[in-house]
Amino acid sequence: MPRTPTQSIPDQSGGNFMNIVVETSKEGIVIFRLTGKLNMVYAPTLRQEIVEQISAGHNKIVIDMSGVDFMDSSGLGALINGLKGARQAGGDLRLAAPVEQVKLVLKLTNLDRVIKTYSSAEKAFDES
Amino acid sequence: MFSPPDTLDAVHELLQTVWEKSPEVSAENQMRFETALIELVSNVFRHADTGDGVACALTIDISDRHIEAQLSDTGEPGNFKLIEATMPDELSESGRGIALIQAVVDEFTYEQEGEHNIWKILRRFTTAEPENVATIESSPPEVTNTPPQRPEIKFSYSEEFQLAQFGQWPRVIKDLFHLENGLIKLINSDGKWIANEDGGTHIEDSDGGQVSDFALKADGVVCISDTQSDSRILNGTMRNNRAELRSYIGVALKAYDGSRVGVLCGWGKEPRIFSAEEVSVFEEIVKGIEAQALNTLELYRAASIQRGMLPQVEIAISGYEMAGFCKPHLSAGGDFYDWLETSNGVAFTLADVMGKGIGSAILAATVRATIRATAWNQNTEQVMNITSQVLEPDLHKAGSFVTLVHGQLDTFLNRVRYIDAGHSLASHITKAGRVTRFATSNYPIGAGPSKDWELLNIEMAPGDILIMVSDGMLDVYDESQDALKEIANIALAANSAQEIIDELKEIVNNSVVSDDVTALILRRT
Repeated sequence: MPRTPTQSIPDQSGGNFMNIVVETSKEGIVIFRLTGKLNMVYAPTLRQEIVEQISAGHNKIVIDMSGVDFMDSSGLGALINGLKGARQAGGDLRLAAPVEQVKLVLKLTNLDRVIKTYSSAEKAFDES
Repeated sequence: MFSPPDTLDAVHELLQTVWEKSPEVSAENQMRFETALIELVSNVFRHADTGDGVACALTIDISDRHIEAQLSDTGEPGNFKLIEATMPDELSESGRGIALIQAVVDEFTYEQEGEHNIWKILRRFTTAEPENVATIESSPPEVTNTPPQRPEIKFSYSEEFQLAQFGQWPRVIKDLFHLENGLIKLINSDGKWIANEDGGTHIEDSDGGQVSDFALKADGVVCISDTQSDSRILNGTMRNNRAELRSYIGVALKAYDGSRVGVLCGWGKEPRIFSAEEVSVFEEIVKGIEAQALNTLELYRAASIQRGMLPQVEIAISGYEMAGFCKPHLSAGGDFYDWLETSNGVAFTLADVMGKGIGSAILAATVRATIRATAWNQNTEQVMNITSQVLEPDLHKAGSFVTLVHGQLDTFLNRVRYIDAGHSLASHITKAGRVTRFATSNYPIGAGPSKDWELLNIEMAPGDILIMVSDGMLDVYDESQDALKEIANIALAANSAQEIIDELKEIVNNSVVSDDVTALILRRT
């Protein structure tokens, strides 16, 4: 799908382990491209970004996890928070391309049944 | 390698160097361990940081069998409730950390040592064979061609464990460790498990690969935090075919010779970790059970030996029968009866050593041996003289005494020469029903001067019965009844000495008795 101009959010945590790039598609779907480790240091930033996107009216959110090599329960908490917000706003939050460690955490916490996962960000809201 | 983790980044980097040095660790294990460690460190930071930061020390030990991390801090005592291990609601945004740790590693413990909080996580790589832990600073482990040989494990069906009463332990395990169930499982002689749990006993087949089979062969206590994620279950080292069984603690029970006879175990429906303290308490309980079983074995053996000393063969004297029984209150006791054929008939004894239990049994055995050694060629009086002379010092030292009756039947004269030392519980019954009680006028042996024995001559006409009992028999009858009269009635109605004994045995077995009970019958047919 065609992309509109991207925004890049500078990492505010002081480390160099997580990067967030936000894209918005023509259909208004927001894609978060994350790179790095989604742990307690970076989870608050992600959560805040998702909240802002939903407040701005974007309730269809995809988190592209292909660049996330590690996620812990704080990262998961941020995703859940985003999920609740998106669904309450009439939309949804979905994941794309999680790596094995992320899949393991989702499975052990039973969240693999709650958050929908796709092989790529493009497929996440593809209704056709 | 010690590293104060100022940031999570440092922990991630540290693990990276660990994996680079140990590339044989599987991707899955790397993933799991990293997840657990980051969760742990995050939790410690979150709860322990009061604003001034937290100083921690992190050590990672890796061997070919497992990897372990130890995190210690000097923060406030952790409020960690390591027992709560279930995942919160799916849409809950927090509270998953501890449960996640428990789900990914095999052991997760928390201890307090002085001002330090110490957390440990451990992930096993393959099977739980004996571990040789080396720190990462030593040279890389050398490749060996064969794994170290384990000493051969002996399994046995053990009598003492089957005999010992374990009624309370399954319940104690269940309550003390907050488990769904506690059990003692023993191997029986067919190789099946006899499982004893709070609520009953049942027999189980064993396919050799179940969780308890594993615990039976393992060294030390086996803990499973979560059967769904335990590496030994996932790789097939052990199997769990009970879906509701999520946590488990078990250890082999050993007999005195070191052979393994069963397991003590408990299981729960929720995943949980067992703290070092809980494991230690569990080990203490096992030692207690093993000691109890050994004790039971000793008692059982003593009783068995004592039973073996009772006459095993009927007297081969035409015209006469002898029969008797002895039921100790505990495993072994101070009562006995004996008979011995002599050149002109039979010499017989019924004795009651003061007290119950093994101590009295030892004295009783000595009395019996002394009488046996003399009765075959000494008359009644001589037997009593020698016996009291030999035994008085022993009895005096033990603070005990013996009441006894000793008689010698002369089959030619049909007469019994009889001495009663402090006993008084004997009577003679004629076929017509006339009862004569014998009262004693001698002291028990060890209780007073043993001389001037009063000798009785008892004539035995056809059908006459001589009845001797120990005072435990009186417990069977209440005070309003005349015990000897009741017994006399039984004797008259019976057709043989053995019949009388059988009936008395039956009565005793149906009664509550708090003493040793013995009876001896001589009957002329």
